[in-house]
Amino acid sequence: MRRRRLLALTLAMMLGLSGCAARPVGEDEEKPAPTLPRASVEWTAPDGDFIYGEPGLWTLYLPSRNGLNLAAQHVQSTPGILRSEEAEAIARELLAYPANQQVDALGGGVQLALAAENPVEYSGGVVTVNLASSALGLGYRGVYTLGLALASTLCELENVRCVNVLVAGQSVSLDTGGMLPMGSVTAHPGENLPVLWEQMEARKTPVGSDAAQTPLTSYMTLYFPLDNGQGIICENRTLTFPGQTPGLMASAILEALSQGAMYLTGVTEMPDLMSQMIYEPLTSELADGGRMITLSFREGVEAEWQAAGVDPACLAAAICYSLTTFIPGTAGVAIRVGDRPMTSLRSEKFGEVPVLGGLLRRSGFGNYLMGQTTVYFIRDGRLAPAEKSVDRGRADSLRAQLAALTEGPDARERAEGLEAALPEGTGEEDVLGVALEGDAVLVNLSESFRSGIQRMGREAETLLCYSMVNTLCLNSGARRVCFFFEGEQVEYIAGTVYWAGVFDYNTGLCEESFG
Amino acid sequence: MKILLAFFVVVGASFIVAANNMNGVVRNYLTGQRTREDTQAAENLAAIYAPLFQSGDVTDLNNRLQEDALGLDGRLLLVDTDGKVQYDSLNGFCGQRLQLSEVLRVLSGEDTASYGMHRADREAVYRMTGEAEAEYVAYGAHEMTGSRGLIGALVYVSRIQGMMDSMNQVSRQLNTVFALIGVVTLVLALFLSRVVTSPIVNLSRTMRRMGEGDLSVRVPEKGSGELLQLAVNYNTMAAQLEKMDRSRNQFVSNASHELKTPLTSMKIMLETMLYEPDMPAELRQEFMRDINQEIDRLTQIITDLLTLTRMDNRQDAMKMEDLDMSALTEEIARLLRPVAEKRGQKLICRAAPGLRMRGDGGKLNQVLYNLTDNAMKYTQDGGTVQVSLEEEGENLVWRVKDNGVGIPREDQEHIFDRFYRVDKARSRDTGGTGLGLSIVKQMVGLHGGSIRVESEPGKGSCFIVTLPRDREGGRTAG
Ligand SMILES: Nc1ncnc2c1ncn2[C@@H]1O[C@H](COP(=O)(O)OP(=O)(O)OP(=O)(O)O)[C@@H](O)[C@H]1O
Ligand SMILES: [Mg+2]
Repeated sequence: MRRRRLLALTLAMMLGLSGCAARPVGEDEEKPAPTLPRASVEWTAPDGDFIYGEPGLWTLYLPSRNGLNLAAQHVQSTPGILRSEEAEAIARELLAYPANQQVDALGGGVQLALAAENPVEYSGGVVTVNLASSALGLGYRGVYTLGLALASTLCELENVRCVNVLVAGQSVSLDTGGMLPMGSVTAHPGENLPVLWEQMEARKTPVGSDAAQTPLTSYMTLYFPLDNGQGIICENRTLTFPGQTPGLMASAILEALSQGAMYLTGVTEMPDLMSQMIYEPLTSELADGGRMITLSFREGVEAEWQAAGVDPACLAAAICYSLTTFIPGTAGVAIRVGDRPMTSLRSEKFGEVPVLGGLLRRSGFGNYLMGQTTVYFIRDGRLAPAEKSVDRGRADSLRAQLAALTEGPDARERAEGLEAALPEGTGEEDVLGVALEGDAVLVNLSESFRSGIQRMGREAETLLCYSMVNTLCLNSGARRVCFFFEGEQVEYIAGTVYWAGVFDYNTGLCEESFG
Repeated sequence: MKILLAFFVVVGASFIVAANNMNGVVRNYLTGQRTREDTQAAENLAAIYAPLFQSGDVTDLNNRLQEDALGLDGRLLLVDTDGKVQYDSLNGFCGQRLQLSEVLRVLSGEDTASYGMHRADREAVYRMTGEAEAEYVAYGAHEMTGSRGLIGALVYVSRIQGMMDSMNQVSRQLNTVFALIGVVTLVLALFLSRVVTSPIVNLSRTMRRMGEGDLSVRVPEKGSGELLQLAVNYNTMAAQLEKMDRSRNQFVSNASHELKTPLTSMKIMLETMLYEPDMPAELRQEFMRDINQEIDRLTQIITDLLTLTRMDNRQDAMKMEDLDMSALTEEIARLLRPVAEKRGQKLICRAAPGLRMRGDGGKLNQVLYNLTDNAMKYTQDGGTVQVSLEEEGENLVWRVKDNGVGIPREDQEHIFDRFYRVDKARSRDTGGTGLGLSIVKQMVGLHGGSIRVESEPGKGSCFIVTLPRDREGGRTAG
């Protein structure tokens, strides 16, 4: 009996020993999973839209005392404004900045101000600053310096590439001939101002030469009509003109427009404007100063445009904006169809365009200029970017971006394979509040948005979430997004995504990173 | 058989343990190496990704994550302090919370790094590693720290299926080798055990046969050492047993014969008297006397047998007392002298005076009586019988000497056996049963003494009894 017990004991010991020797790989499926504590965030849900900016500094560039270059000056920034508003605020700061030990005031003796109408337009990386006519008192060199200062200052802002400078709604010339345009100016901080001015002067038509024979290459802004008569949008281009006359410039610009946008999406397929015109563009002087460029199209061209899906009002706006923003001293454009001047122009979206004496002025299309924002839809299980046109004042508003997301892709985008990321039946009203706080976007969504997510299911949840995260971060410069539902952080909705805590901007889920 | 089974079990278990240990060593080596490599990789990557994670270019971070994951043939996840996956080289887990114990340990601050190998169902492993038909996966988590302390953890999802496969293959090979060696060992062991146990098996078989009654069987005395000793001792014991058995049989047949003889003669006399009612009264008287004599003889035999049996069974307690042996010797001589004189024999008694010892008086009395009686019985009329008592060292010695018929040499060793008589016919006349000397030997033994005989046929015999003087009980004899 005892011996048997001893034997059993020995065996047990041996087996135990062998058990120790071969440490098996953990099969811990049965063990209760360890649990992380519930995530918590420092913020509260925004009720309404806010931008909680920390007061920071804006960098202004002004000509240094010795006039050799632009020197940086810092002013307190105004926290909590959108990019478009911010551009205007900075422009005002810059124009009003007084002289000091390091820099001269921009105006010198001249009182600079922004024009009353459309003072600053911000769209597609381009800021157009419209100055009051007092700026003409600066002289050519002074205006150019002003343009450089504005461009260097405004390009400090995220997503701003270049600046157009208008005075009293017209492009200014830098030469006595009144034909050398400033074009779209990029940032030149620290560069030698006299050298830059010399380079600009070198492009003038030399005295005694024919302006029509002096070619010019310039960086400029082209405006294209958006699909469905939604307005216009701009794109920058370097164009070469055979001569420095309004007619030649207008022809070159129209030709460039006819070729269509290079990288913009959502713009209308352009008709060949040059072949639709029966005469070369004509230039005439207006009585109140400024030029009028007359474009004569063949009979029935409006119908052709309509048939090609081109909204005549938007096309007119694009032509008007493109020409007046670049060709110096252009007050407006007259469009003739057949032998008649176009006297009325109607847009479904923007209503009646004032056509005074057949003249289409830039200011008449003030609200046509749209901003674009990139939103992420879904294609083949990845996030695919799509450009959505938004009121240019709201282009960088977080709410507008979410609204564009909830709208989903339009018919053309659908045809390209894009699918909506957000639940159907959600709209802007489901965004109870959205705020930018530091580098985080806080989004407060409605209960019906939440049940929409639930309906979408587990599979769709990740892309749904990141379409919002990436859209918001891409356009705002924020790095992360935090979601609330009816003011509360929620852990799980459909089951896949952990909604509490924050989501970092992540391009890994986007198409481009796999291109 | 049981021993063999136990042996099998022990050998089998040892091999299992050995194989297991070998497997364990291989396993520990491989997993240990992998653990070190993976942990190191996780640590290095954590150092690289911590700054990128905190404030990096997202696209760059994603590209590097994918490149590094590809280079490691694994998956890399960057997890924030909430345990949410923020970056994933395969992107599938972005925004999710993976409840991995390794991550928990790092995020809770328990460890700066944690590594674990896991076995899970194929689908779960596929989701983690993208590896089809895999069962194993390992997670290495390492903390990422930034300027404000812990900012998250880097998780390296390592594909260990390949390693596990090769490990299992090694283990299968090892097991096969061990199984082969085990079988060979068992066969050898079986053979060896046969050699070792065969003597024991023989012994047990012999014992069984002996138990069944066959006392003549013997164990072959071969081999060496303890087993040989055992066989020899066993055979000695068996021989002893056989001898005892034979003498017991002899005794029984002798006893029955002895008892039957007087009964037969009594029956003849009684029948004669019965069928001849008119037989002369004198003859009848004589018959009756003879019958009475036979009855006395029977009584004597039975008394003797009882005495012996009692002594055999040690029922007869010794009544020890202080004895005057000189007086005892004289008393016997005085008692028997008239009988001797009747036959014209001389009975000479020479007892040294005042010799004493402790002993059972009755028994010692019978010893000397029987010896003297024999001496007289087996000595012709007119012979001489000498009885003496002397002190020799610590002992007292009786010598009973006669000049009678003597005892042949070959009978000398048997005369102390029960019912043994040298000349059966003659003894009959003298009325002996052959029990006298047995009783004497037994009684002398009870006193711790010894008896021997010196005799020459035709010349006479001398019985010498040596008794130790100071002996309490004397129970050693037997
Ligand atoms: N002194 C002696 N001389 C010769 N023979 C002897 C002597 N004593 C014994 N013997 C032999 O030894 C035998 C055994 O003796 P033992 O005394 O045991 O038996 P017994 O004398 O024959 O019968 P009982 O039992 O009546 O004494 C005797 O039969 C006899 O042959
Ligand atoms: Mg006798």
